[in-house]
Amino acid sequence: MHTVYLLITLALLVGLLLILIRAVQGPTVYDRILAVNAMGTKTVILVTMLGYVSGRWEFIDMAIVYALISFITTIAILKYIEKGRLD
Amino acid sequence: MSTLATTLASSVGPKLALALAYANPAHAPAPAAAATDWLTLVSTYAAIVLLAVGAFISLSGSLGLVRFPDFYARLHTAGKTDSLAQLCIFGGLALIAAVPGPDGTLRDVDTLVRIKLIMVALILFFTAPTATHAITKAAQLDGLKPWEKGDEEPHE
Repeated sequence: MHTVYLLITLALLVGLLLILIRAVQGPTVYDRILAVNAMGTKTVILVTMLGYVSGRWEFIDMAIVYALISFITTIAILKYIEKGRLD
Repeated sequence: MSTLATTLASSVGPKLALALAYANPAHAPAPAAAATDWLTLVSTYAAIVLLAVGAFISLSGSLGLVRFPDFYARLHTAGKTDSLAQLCIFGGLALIAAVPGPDGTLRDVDTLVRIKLIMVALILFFTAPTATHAITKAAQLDGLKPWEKGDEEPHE
């Protein structure tokens, strides 16, 4: 079972590297935002998987916090691009 | 030590003897083996299948994000695979019965952990499509045109 967790974590890391390519070379700024948003979702799964690999439940709380922060970040960046200000 | 524990068990009570045995790691009873009834077995195999499906969907979504030609096509692959992959992986993790802890012993997955996993899955299930929708709206308001048939090949 430990091997399964490690394999899933490895697959997520490979996916993160692929998304990083798009985030670096994306032609428009929206490609970069989309890539960073997808990276955020994958990071939440990755943190939970690391919690299962090491057997510590505290990682799941960190995953909840990261999911909320990642969502707020994406919405804030998009609102700033769309309206030019944040208020 | 063992004779002391047995005498304590007969005289004082089994609870104190058990506490004494735990205080001395050499006399601690072996950890109980994980339950291997058929429900645990079936849920473990279902969890492995769900985790594998989720990892495959996540990988294919990442590959599509790199390979697809156009921003809106990339939006399509990233937005859909993210929601499905996280549902599969968190559902699979919630089905697992026990996990090896930091000290090597099996720790049971209690109900609070499962509730937290379902909570993360629900948060992502509502926020990921919202973020995708906001990205699409911002790009469209900015005047980004989708790639159509007959246009020249968009640069990568």
